[in-house]
Amino acid sequence: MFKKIIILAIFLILSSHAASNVWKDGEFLLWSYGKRYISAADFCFALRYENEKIGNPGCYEAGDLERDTVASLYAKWLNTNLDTRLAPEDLRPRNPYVVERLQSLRDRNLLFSTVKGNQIWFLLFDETSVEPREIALFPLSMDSAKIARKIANDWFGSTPQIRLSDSERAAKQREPDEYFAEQPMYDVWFGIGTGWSRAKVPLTPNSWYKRTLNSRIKNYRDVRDSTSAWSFVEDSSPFYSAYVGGSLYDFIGLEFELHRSSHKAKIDKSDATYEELDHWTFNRYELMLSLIFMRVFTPIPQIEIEPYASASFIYSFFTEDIAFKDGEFGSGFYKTRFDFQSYYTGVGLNLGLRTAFFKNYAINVRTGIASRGTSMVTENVIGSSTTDVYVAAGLEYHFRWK
Amino acid sequence: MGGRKLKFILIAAFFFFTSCSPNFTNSHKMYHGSPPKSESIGYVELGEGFMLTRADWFAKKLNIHGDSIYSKLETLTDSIISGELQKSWGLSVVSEKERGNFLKETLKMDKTVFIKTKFPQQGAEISNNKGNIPNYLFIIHEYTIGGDLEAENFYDYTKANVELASRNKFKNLSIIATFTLWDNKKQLPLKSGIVSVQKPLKNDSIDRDLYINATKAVVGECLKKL
Repeated sequence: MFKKIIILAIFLILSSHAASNVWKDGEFLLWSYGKRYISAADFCFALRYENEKIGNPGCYEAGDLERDTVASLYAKWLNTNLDTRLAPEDLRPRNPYVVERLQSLRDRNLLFSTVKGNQIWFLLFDETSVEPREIALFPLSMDSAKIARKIANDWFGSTPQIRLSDSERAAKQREPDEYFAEQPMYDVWFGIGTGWSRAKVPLTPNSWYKRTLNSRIKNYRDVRDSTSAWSFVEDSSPFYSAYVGGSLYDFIGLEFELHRSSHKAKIDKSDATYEELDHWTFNRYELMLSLIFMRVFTPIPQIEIEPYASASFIYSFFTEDIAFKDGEFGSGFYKTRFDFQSYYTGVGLNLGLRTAFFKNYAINVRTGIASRGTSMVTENVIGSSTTDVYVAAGLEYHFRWK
Repeated sequence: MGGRKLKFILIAAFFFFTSCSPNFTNSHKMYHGSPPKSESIGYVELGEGFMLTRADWFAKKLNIHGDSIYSKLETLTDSIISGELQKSWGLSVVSEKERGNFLKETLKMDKTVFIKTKFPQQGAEISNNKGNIPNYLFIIHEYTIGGDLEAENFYDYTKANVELASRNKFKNLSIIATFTLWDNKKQLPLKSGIVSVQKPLKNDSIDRDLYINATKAVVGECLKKL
């Protein structure tokens, strides 16, 4: 028997399925059925004693509930049915009126207690659930101050939250479900990059390009086929780029990019015509506007991986850089040398992978194919169909916000 | 050949199992079997729980005036049920007026099967007509009488929208009842269930005996489920 009492004396907490809401300066209603075992003042003292962060709690006797006939019937029912075999959901009130009373507790905690046999039961209710959130049972022989402290520590020992004002509560209630609360993720970035472009598409036969790539300019203008710019200038070249872009919802975006690359004119060095020439290069400038579609994956919080595909509109032009050796003045061929069109337009298709670190810093690698042409239908337009592929890498800084 | 036979057996078994009447019950944790014969049990009169579909048909066949078919059949049913329950326990009758104070609830029997129940308040003991408080109450929430009714169509919400053809001739007299054995002292729904009884009709006619037998069968089914 003595052993049993000892075991009972070790309090019995039946359920601790969810931590209770602890509010700073919270309000506590003590609802007793039968003898009042812990006074409101004692309970508040215990709360302050056990949790110094709890502020200045208010404890009140729930006389309103104790006088209520319907609520009292539920209290009586609890007293009849409290049993260690029952789970909290078996103890919920059936009467809609009592349910409503519990749901209108707002941010107050309701502590129900009742003496049954030689034990005292404590049930904690709050607005979040109609079934008791916590249940505990103590032997009556236990000191009431000790019980109060035990409850204060077990249920209200955690760091308190700040209570919400009426308008804050109303705002929180109107807050959409997190799945519907999706706000656009804005992302704006700028970056610089470098890459390499060439005419030959990997995995395609060399014979497709042989004619163009082996082509040499004779007498400053003559080539066998002038449709590709690569008949006149070297195709394989590094390029440098600067770009700015933005995206919405981590899904769709626009990017504006400037490319600059330098291409040597493909002169036949054995030709005596060019002996006067010091150098002849063309700088190609490309302005690209791209529509981007992307997906963002976050394998770990610090890293975001963003594969994307984009289609670019290209505006492209060449500038010429030509100079003679000292004392040379240019032959007649020089004066009739070829010239590119004033501009070309084209499209590019790109695939890329952006890896962002700590939200703001990103490394971007991309590859793609681009083709430029002219709107003119007449034949023999120089560079009317110029295609190349590229790989590039860039460093970016991102501004991301919601 | 063997495969075919097995297939047939499987299909036959499937139909056998699916054709069985539903065995939907719900027991409380504190339920420890049917109360012994000595227990005092109050039978709550059907009142609003009594539902007669095709009232005209019943009025015509039972030769009762259409205006009084409801009340007469209800009184008859109450007396048959209490007579049957009397054989099992020390029975008393709880007036249907008490039922008016009961609270409506929905009780889950199965994944998709729910019944509407009417339970007394928690904390309130219900007294019988003599003013005594029985230990248990036998409550029939809904007692539906009709022809060729399927319990699933009433209580399984996935089948609730099954459109029943309005037929003039019935094969069976159907009674579907939902019941609860209520602990009147502790106010707990100890055991609840759905029972369904089908009695074949000959030549689309019904007489009092057939109805009485069907009602007795309902009580028998309820007791079996306790």
